[in-house]
Amino acid sequence: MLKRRSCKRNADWDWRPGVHKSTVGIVVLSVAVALTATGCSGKEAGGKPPIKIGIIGPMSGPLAVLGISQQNSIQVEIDRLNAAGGIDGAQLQLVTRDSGLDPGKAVQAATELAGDQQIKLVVGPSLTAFYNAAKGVFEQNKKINCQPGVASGSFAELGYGFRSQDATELDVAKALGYLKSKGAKNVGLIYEGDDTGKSVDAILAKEAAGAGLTYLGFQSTRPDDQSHSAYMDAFKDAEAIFYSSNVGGAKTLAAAGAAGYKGILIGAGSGAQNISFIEGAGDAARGIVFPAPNYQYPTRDREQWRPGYRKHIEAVEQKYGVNTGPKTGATSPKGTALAADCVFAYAEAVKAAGGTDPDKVAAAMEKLDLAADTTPSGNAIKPGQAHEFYGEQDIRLYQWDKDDKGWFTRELPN
Amino acid sequence: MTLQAWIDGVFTGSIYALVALSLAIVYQPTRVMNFAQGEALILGAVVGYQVISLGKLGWVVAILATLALATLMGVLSERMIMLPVRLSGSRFAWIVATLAAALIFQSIFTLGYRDVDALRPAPMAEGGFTLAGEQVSWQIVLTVAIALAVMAGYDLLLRRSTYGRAIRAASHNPGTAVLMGIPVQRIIVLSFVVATVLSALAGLLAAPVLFIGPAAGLIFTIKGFTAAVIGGVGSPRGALAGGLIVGVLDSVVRTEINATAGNLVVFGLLALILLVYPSGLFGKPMEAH
Repeated sequence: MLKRRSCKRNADWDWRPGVHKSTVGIVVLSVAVALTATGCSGKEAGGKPPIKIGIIGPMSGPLAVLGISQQNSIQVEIDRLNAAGGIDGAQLQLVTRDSGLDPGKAVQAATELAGDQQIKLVVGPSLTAFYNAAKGVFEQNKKINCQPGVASGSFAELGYGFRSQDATELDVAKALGYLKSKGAKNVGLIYEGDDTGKSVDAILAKEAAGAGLTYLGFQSTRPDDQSHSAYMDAFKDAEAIFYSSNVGGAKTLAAAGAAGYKGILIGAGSGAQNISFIEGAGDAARGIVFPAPNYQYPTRDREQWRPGYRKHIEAVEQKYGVNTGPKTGATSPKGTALAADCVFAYAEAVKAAGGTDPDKVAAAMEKLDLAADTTPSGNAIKPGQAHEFYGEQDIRLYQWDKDDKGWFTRELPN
Repeated sequence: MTLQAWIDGVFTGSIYALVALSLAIVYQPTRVMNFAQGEALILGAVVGYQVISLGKLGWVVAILATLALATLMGVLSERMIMLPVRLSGSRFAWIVATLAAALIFQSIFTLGYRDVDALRPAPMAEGGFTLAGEQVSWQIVLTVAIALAVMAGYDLLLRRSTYGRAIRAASHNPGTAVLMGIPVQRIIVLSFVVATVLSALAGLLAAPVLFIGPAAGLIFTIKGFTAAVIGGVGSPRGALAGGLIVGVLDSVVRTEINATAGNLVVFGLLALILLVYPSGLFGKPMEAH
């Protein structure tokens, strides 16, 4: 309102003696236009400056597809919210920072965005090591942070950090239940020797016996392994093998295919939903099982998709298209609905908190209870004090298969 | 100790040996250790993926395309590396020049195939056989056989042919070689081309079995470099021995102990060999300097 008044006063401005009225008029008009184009038009309809949402992720390099997918889904959700009037009377704007594969860049971007008062929510940085390096910055600056790309570790001790991804513990618990139902007697783990691999190893060492399974141990892999056949050889008599959620998982599947492995191959996380798995492993991926939050895209029957998920995915398809595996023809949307959940949940929390004060918003986020039909991911969001968006009931089991129409997944009964 | 670990080790070792041989071919007349050598291997994998997997044009077209593109890449690499080396006059220019070439090629491959984790075409030879209860694919047998044949052929070429004598003369003393009428510059360009073609063929043959990503070139360079130093830089027999030592040792230790121990043992051995045999197992003191 203040700026609008000052604009009007500029339009009445005429105090110089001897200046021709029409010249004055042109000057005044020019000034008015200039002011309108700068300060005055900086206001949104509601009169509030825009709320900026930051995303930090790999937008370049080998993992760019992850960061760009997150960015696309967040932009689609922002567009939807803006079309509905924004949040708290303000429009939303996305600010993107590329971390590449450099943790230093991720921390630098986190510091920049956490210190910017116009940024109210930061999504990312993805990858556990990057996030672990950056999360302290968000806590110190009381910046609401949402994480759709970190599976291991706890968020319960964080004041402002929330996870919108399936936690490793939930995935492994679901998978162990499946193995028990199939009557498997033992299981081995082939995973990268990183934080997530060690976390899965610790969970299996603790929980496998409870599911009636003997844990055969952890074959820790390296990023420079060009084949996993040696690791597969160690577990050739195992009744089940957990494979990695990363590219290493596809190496394991390929090695299992080459070795003619007949046991159960099950994901220790939801990474196998990515079509890069199918591209890398080829037909060896047929029949593999993986736990994941709602991911109905490859199940084909859109009528069965949850309404919020379908609306979001179809908006992503319309704006950005789909990824198509060049070798296999498998498809996936160019978006990550779990990242859109961050913005969706934040908007709901701001509404409940009556503003963007980070303490009030964090408290409101803890109390959210959003139905699965309404969210972009198709999962219920109920963070609670654990700061986990999704619970055990949101984790499902999917199985990849292929027919004459191409690759698809089927959801396995609980 | 499992047979599978040995099979894997011999296979990857033969690939490392071809990279080590390529490094030696460039090193002999130029005294430049080409850190961009692994990118030629990626070129072979890229061609295999593009021509065989996506284009469905088969192995013959893939081999011809690899030969053509690797020749072009070899000529380009020589210009990108040797020109700055000659113009700068710095004794360290080759480090920056080869690393820059590696990063440029890596960026090109990553930009072109950023969504592809593994450039994996269908194998040239489908199927395999069982050896003492372990599965061995024909592609592995074929790759090892071709690698051995190439190394034996290059060893013969180096010792028995005019080209080989010219390379050896150029590597002993380029100035004198020029005075004797040997076209040293042409030899250098040819060396880059031959080295690039060999590495690219290694990539093409290995891609159906290994997981070769578009950004994996430097890993193969490091492994090939280690193999070359262990075996003795400049010696085809040394490249073979070094490649097999690196491949088998890494695979066996990784299987028997753990993945981290594999690298520890390989690089520990490298340090030990440099201490006892500064010129490598098969290298001559002159060739190591």
